[in-house]
Amino acid sequence: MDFSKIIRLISGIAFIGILYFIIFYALKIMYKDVKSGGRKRPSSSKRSYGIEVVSVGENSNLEEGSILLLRDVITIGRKEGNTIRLSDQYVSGNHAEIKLKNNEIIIRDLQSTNGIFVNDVKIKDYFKLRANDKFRIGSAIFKVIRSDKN
Amino acid sequence: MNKLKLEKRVLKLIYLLCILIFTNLALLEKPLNKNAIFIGLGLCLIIGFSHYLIRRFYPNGDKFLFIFSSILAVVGVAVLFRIDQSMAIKQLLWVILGIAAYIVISVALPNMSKFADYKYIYMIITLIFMPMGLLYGLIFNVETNGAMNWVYFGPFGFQPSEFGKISLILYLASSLKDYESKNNIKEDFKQLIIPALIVMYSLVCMVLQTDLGSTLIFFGISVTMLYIATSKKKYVFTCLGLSVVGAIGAYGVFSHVKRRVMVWLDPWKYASDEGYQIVQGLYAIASGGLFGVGLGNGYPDLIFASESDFIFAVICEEFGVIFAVGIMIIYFLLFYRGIRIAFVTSDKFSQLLVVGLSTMIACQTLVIVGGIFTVIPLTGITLPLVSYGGSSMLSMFFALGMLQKVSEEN
Repeated sequence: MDFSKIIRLISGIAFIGILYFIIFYALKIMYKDVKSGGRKRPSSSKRSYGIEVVSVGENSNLEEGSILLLRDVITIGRKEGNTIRLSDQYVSGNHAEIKLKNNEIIIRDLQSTNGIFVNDVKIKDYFKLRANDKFRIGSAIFKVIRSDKN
Repeated sequence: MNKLKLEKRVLKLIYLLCILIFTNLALLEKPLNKNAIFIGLGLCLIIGFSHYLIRRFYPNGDKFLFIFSSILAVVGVAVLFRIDQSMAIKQLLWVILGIAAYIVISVALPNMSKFADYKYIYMIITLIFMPMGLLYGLIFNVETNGAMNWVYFGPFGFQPSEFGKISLILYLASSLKDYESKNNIKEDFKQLIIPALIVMYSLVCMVLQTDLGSTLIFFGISVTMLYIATSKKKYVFTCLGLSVVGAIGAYGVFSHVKRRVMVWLDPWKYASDEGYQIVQGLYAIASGGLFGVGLGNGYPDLIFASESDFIFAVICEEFGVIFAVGIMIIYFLLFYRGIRIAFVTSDKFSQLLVVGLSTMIACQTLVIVGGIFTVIPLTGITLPLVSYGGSSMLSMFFALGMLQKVSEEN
C-alpha cells in the first residue's frame, strides 16, 4: 500500500468522524434544550428583572415597595385585564406595555393620552429601559430593578 | 458543561472539517494549490464572524439553523472546487451574499408577524414569477438543458421559480392564517378556493416549463401547509386524488413526463441515451462504496450536471455513502429545527410560514436525492445549499433568514 492510499484512507475516515461528531454534539445540545425545555424556557442570561413600585400616587390599589417579576410582557392601564391596573384618572385604558426581548427591556406607549415619562422625559412610541430607570405613568412611579443572582 | 461551550466546540469541529477538506484539496495538485487554502480559511472566517453576530444581537434565536447550513455550504464549495475551481470561487461569492442576506433579514427586518397582511402583494409576485421562465423561453426561444426555467438579463441569469417558491409560501401563509373551520362545505370551500387556484396556476406553469422538480416541491409544500392550517385529512386526500388525475393527465399529454417515468422504471434499458445520467450516477455511487474513493479520485466529469443536480452522487463517490448519510441527517436536523420553531411561536402566520419553509428544504432534498437513487423519477432541481447556483443559494438563505427571524421573536 503506497503513501497516497494511506493518506486517502485517513482523510476519508477523518471527514466521516468529524461530521458525525458535529451531529453528535448538536444532538447533545438539543437534548439539553428539550430536557430543560417546555415551551418557555428562561432566557439564557442569568439576570432577571423586576418592576418596583416607588410611589403609588393616587392609586389606592397599589402598595409602595411591591415588586413584580418581569417575565415576558407586563401591561399597564386602567382597564380590566392589564397586569398592573391603575385607578388614576390620568391613566388610559391600555396605557403601556413592558416587554423583555433578547435581554432588552422595552417599554411601549400604547397611544395613551398622557404618555409615559422615563427619568422625567416623555418618551415617543417606545424606549429601551435599563436597570434603575424610573418611569412615571399618571401619578404612579415605578423603577426597574435587576437581580444578578440565579 | 454549558450550552455556549458545547456550541463553540461544534463550531471548532466545523472549522476543522473545513480546513481538513481544503488542505486535502490543496494537496491534490503539485505544487500546492494555495487557492484552496485561502477559500477554506475564508469560509472559516465568514462562519465564525456570522455566528458571532447572530449570537451577539439575538442570544435567544436558534443557532443551529446557521451551524447546519454552514456545514452544507462548506461541503458544497469543497466539492465544486474539486469539479471546477472557477465555479467554486463563484459559489463562494454566492455563499457570502447569501449569508449577508440571512444576517440582514434576521437583524434588520421588523417582526415577521408584521408581514402577515400583504396577501395581495405576495399573490401578485407569485403570479409574475411563476410563468416568467416560460414566457421568456417562448419569446426568445431559449431552452436550458431542455427546460425553460431560466431568465437572462444581459450576462446575468436566474431561475424565477426559486424566488416564486418563497413568494408562494408567503402567500399561502398569509391567506391560510385566517382560515376558520365553519363545518359547512360551502363556506370552507369559499375560503380555500383562491389559494387553491393560485397553487394550481403555479403547478401548471411549472409543468409547462418542464420543471417537474419544482412541481413536486410546490405540491408538497401546499399540501403540508393546507393540512397544518385546516387539520382536516379530507382536504389532503382530495388533493392527493386530484394530483393523481393531474399526473395521469400530464403523463398522457406531455412527452417529457412520459420519458422521465420510462427512464425511472428501467434506467438500464436507456443507459446509452436518456438514462445515461442516472446510470453514470449509480455507477459513481457504487464505486464510492462505504468510505468513498477519496477526494480527487472519482470521475465527476462523466456525470452530466455533476455540479448541480447530481452533486450528491459526487459526494457519495468521493466521500462515501456514510458521509452522504451524515449529510442527509444534517438536512433532517435542519428540518427538525424549523418545525421546532413553529412549536414555540404563537403567531399563526409565522407558524405557517415556518412550516412551509422547512417543508421546502425537506422536499427539495428528498426529491433530488430520491431522483438520483431512482426511488422516484428524476427531476432536475438543486440540492439545497450544496449545489452550484446563485438563485438557489440566495433563495435558500432568504428562507433560513426568515426562519431565524421567527425563532428570535418568542
